[in-house]
Parts: sequence; C-alpha cells; structure tokens
Amino acid sequence: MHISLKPELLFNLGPFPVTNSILSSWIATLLLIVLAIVVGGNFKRIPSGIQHVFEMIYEMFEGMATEVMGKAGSKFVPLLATLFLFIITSNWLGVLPGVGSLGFYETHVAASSDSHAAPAAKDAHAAPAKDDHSGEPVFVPLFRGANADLNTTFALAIIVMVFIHVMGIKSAGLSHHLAHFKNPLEIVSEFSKVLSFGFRLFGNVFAGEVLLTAMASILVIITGKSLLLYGVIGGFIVTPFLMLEFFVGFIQAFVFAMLTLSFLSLFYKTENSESHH
Amino acid sequence: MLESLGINPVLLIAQAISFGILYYVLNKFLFSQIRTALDERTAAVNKTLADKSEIEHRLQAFEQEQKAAHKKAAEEVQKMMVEAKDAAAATKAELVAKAKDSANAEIAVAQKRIEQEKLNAEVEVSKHAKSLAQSIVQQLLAEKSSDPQWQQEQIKASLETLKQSKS
Repeated sequence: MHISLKPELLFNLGPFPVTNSILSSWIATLLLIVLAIVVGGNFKRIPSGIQHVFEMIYEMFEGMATEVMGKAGSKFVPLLATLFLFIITSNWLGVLPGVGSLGFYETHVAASSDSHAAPAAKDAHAAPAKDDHSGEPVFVPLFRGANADLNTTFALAIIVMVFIHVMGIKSAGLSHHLAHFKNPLEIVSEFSKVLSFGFRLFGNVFAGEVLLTAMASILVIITGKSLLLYGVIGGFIVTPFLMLEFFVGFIQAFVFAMLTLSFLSLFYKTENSESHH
Repeated sequence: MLESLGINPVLLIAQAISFGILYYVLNKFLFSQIRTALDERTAAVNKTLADKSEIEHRLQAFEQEQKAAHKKAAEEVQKMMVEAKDAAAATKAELVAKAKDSANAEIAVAQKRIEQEKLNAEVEVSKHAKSLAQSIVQQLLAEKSSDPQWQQEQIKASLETLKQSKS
C-alpha cells in the first residue's frame, strides 16, 4: 500500500498544474461561495436553516474574539470564520465516499514522480498495488482532501501569519512591533508558527486519510486477496473511523481559527491594554 | 525537500488567492449581513429592555400618583362632609332660632290680644252691671218707693254691691 504525500496531477491547464487536492479545494470554495450568495441573497431578520448555522459560527467566534481581545476582536471575526468554514468544509468533503476512491488509471506516470497512487483501498475493486513498474497502470484519485496537501495548509498558514504581523504593525506602529523581536529566537518562533500551522493541519487530515484507507482495506492487506466481500466488510470496519474523521475535521478547523486568534492577540495592541510583552 | 513534500509555489499562490476570494465573498455577502443583523438584534434587545424599565418606572409613578389622588379625594370628601355637617347644624340652629322668634312674637301678640279682650270684657261687665244695677234700682225704687226706710236700706245695699263690683 502506498499513499502519496503529494497531491496527484490531474492535468495541466496551460502552465498551471491542476492537482486533485486543488480541485477539491475549489469545490469547497465554490460550495461556500454559492451558500454565502444564496443565504446572503435572501437574508432574513429571523434566521432559519443554514443562515442559523452561519450566524451561530459567526457568533461563536465573535464571543471568543471579544473575550480574548476586547471590542477590537470583533473585526477579526470574518477571518476566523472564513478559516473555520473553509477548513471544516474541505475536511468533511474529504471524508465523503468517492474522495480517494473515484479516479482513473494512468499508464503514463504523471509529472509528480512518486505518485504511484495506491489503489484507493476504499474501493474493493482496486487492483493491488503494483510497485515501481513504469508503464504499468497507476491509479490516480480524482479528489483528495484539500488539507491533505501542504500547499493548501501552508497557504493558509502564511496568509494568517502575514495578516497577524500586518495587524501588529498597524495597531502598534512598526518600531513598536519590531521591538518584539529583539531576541532572534522570537523570529525563529514566528517561522515555527508557520510550520506548526501548516504541518498540524496537514498531518491530521493526511493521517486521517491514511487511517481510513488502511482500515477499509485491512482485510485485503492481511490476506493479500482482493475480494468483493472484503470491501463490504471493510465498509463496516471503517464506519467508526469515518465518525472520528468528522470529529477531527471539526477540531482541526476550530484549532486553526483559535490559534490564529491567540497569535493575533499577542501582537495586536488594543487601546486599553499594553498587550503581552 | 520542498519538491518531495509536494510543495509547489504555483499551487501555493493559487490556494492563497482562492482563499482570498473566499474571504472576500463570504465577508461581502454573508458576514457583513450577519454583522448588521447581530447589531440590530442587540440594539433591539437593548431597546426592549430600556423600554421595559421605562414602562415600569412610569407605571410606578402612575400608581403613586393614583394613590396620592385617591388619598386627596378621600380627604376632600371627609372635609366636605364635615363642612356639610357644620353647615347643616348651623342651618338647623338658625331655623330653630327663627321658629322660636316667630313663636315668641305670636305668643306676645296673643297675650296682648288676650289682655285686650280681658279689658274689653271687664268694661262690658261693668257696663252690664251698671245697667243691671240701674234697672234693679229702678224696679226696687218703683216697688219700695212707698217705704222710705226700706228705700234707704236698698240704696245702701245696691251702692255697696256697686262698690264691690267696681273693685
């Protein structure tokens, strides 16, 4: 069984490589955009349905932001809520059946050289892995959880850290903000925050996918035979792990937003508090 | 190393841009409306609470006012009743006094009249007595004119009665 760390290339759009994970992230983004326009388009005074869910999430972050940063916190709620919504949507879409199992075989090994994509083990029909035979058909899943790609998680991490420092400079002034970094270790710590942001989310989601794949195909792995029956049984085995992954998907989205808030509060200077030195 | 982790600057930037677009759209179409709705709701709740306390305040004031008005009205009624009683007593006294006066006056008039009558009666009686005496005298005189002694006695006696009746 071999699961690639990298996203698999689907096709090239001019110079732009369209990978399965960016496709998933576009779907998540598009879904949220459509929901936002639909809900925003007929916004009601008395909320119902999905509007309620959005308001609940918004209020949850508003409550936490104002608790941590006072009244100034409320202007960061849109960022926190967007992060949360994007991450949780991608994570949950990534748990859906079809992600990792729907795909096609490619005889020509794609640009990302070690994407000897394992047979999506959730799919019992998948052929056993054929290692390192160039020219052999290789399975390429059409979708991959958006956050099971370091490009996505680091993009988010970098956006957040840049945002935090821009806000720090804006609120305290450049010289005051730079005073935080008299100790070079502080600079290292800022870069390590980017790494921890990026790898934490990636690690959790990627590990979840590996876990699901392993659990679904555990009989195939143990017996070395690929039977239809094993796929059915695998479906039952994997169910509790699917639930776990929904939970992990929520937790990681929440953690990402909360860490953003707490790092933000380290550098954002509110009017009434000489915050944290 | 980056290549083996699958990190590709083009993809990284693409993800960042798509997140930026998502942020913009969510903020513009959804979060701004939620923000306004929440603010409106907070304002509405605050207004309701303020209205409530205002209404309670007013109600209390009104109740107090009403109580005071009640008390004042009761006092006034009490006062009026006392006044009316006094007035009634005064009227009664006046009426009684008037009645007494008029009764006294009438009594006086009656007494006067009685006295007058008495006087008249006395005069009448004396007149009558005189004429009676005259007639008796005449009769006796006529009868006893023959007897001078008796005449004298008679005259004496009748004079005596006259004298008596006059007194």
